[in-house]
Amino acid sequence: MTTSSVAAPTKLSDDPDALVAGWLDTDLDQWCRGVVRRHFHPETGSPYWLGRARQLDFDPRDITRYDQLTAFGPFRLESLREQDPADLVPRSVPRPLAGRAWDTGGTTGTPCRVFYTPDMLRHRAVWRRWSFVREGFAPGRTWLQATPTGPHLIGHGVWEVSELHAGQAYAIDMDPRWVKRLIRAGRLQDVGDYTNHLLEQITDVLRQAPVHYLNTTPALFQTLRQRHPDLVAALDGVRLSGTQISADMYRAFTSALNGGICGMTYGNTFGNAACWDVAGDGELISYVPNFPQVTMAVVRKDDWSAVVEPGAVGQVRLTVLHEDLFLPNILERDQASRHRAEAWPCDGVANIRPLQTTSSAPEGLY
Amino acid sequence: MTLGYLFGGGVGTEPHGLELYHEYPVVRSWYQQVADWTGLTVSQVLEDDLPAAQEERQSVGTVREAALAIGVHDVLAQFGLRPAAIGGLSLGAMTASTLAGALSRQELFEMLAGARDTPELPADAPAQGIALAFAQTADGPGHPGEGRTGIHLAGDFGPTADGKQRILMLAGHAEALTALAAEAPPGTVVPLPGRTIAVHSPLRRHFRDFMAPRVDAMAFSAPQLPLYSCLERKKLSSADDVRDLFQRNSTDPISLVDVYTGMKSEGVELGLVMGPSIPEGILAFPFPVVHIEKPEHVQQALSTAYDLGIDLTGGQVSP
Repeated sequence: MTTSSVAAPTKLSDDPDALVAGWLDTDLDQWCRGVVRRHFHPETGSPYWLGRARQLDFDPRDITRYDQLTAFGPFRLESLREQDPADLVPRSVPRPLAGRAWDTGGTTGTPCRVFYTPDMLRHRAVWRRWSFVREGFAPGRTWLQATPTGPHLIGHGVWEVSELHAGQAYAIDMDPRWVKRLIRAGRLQDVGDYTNHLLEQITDVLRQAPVHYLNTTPALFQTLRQRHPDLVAALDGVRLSGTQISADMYRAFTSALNGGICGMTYGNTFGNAACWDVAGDGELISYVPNFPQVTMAVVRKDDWSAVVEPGAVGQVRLTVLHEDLFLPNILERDQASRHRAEAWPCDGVANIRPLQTTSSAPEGLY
Repeated sequence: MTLGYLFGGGVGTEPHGLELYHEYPVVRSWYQQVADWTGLTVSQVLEDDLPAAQEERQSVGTVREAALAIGVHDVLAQFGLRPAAIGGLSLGAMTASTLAGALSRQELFEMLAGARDTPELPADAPAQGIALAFAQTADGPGHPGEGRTGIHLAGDFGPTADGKQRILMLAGHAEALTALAAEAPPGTVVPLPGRTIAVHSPLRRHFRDFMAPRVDAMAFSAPQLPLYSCLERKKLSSADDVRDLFQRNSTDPISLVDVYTGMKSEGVELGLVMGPSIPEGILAFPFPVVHIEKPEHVQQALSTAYDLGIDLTGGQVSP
């Protein structure tokens, strides 16, 4: 048994650019072998995966290639609602664990929870800083984080901005699960009231002190743009975190920002992808995942194991390959077109939308 | 930020809408109303096998499709969603006209039900059919059957989602379509099994002539919403415009491109596709679309509207 392909713990003092360069140069099959063997090590593996191993008809330690991960089948998300999140962390990480369990935003029922070790948080932060720099967000600026916080990992952006990008950060909180619950219940007036409540807090901060950058959701930013165009025009940039943004929204945002940065990210508590390119004035917005800790594939809606052709639309399949968290084949509730970005070692995704599962046979056109 | 409602054409063979019917009282009462107007039973409208006779089958099928599309509209209306622009293909154009206020729902359904009395063609008339044709995007709506006897361009669905092809509909004599499919590069012309009416072609002239007096007698009025034609790139703004669409609909080719281009010009930023008549994921649209044929899609439409920054506060509490 070897774990030599698994990287040494990351330190805040490590050069983040060197870390990213190293990750992008990683052989995915070798990385995959390291992560799988770490989680299935008989003594130091993760309790969850060692338990699962007994139910599998193959020995996971025989896996040598990334594309063999389909043998695990689609990951059962219920496990992340029922199981102690610590059980997915290898025992080679010293107990008691130091770190936090984070929730998925979730739209229905109990949230999924995963444990992030300090190393995982640093990996995520390094990637986030990398995308800030690539998009042009300067260090040493003041940010307003108007996103979910509390149990939601996106709220950790306050720490990422301050520790790795020398920023000052304000924050307000939003509860995405409450919004979804109101929508499900048809309480649309209450949705509007809650949006107003959030906007009041955002505008309070923007008027109190100079804020260069705003991190928020496309929906909230759209409303802010419509009601307070002066405050948007005064920003140096916005970072949008969410699932979908249309071409019309992108054009409206860049126009309102008047030369300011419109940065974007796609993902959730399991894994993230940074905006790679915007083409056709917003008609194609593509993202690339935090390789190799996160990989994404676009698969057929009727066959999760079949990757679609480049440019074709399908369901997003996410695989988490952190040294301390292994989640193969998560079938996201999003769809996207498969995107091949030159110079990126794995597939990206473009034009994210909520997953639609309806009739899709061309014969149904008439 | 505005919503556009899109209605597809054609008559499916599989029943749709059962889940919506069972979930929403407003849909159940609506189907009962349709049954009362058409002389059909709710079960015939909703899920029974379609009749075998060609024109009767077409008639009941159109009642089914239009009932579902309007049912979806009514569910969304309960949540306060209203379209800022509206349009559809073929039958969907007539449904859209109705929801735009250009004619009453009762007149629409009585017309659709009345179509069952269209005389069948003589038994020795050439069999008809339709086919899908896949052309190069740059070719525009030119089609592989151009210039061939017995084949007509019946529809342009526009570019596919990946932008690589354009989907057209051909209508005509079944024999000619089969011959064209055999000669064309494999997979580029695909006759649709079970579709025995050469819709949107001159071969439907007898249907148009049979329905013309009824359409002439119907009470149309100017649309109350921006309503976009599928027969040309045009906003229908008068009663005569809508009547003309109803008269020509059966024999003239349709274009989804004309519909969504018009809606885009109206500022539509989210399209809601009513019912299953435009399959999901195949075609390109100039704005995001959500297809609604089941209760969960209603929630998805509301969530997407929120995500795209649409003000939902006009909604009422009636989940």
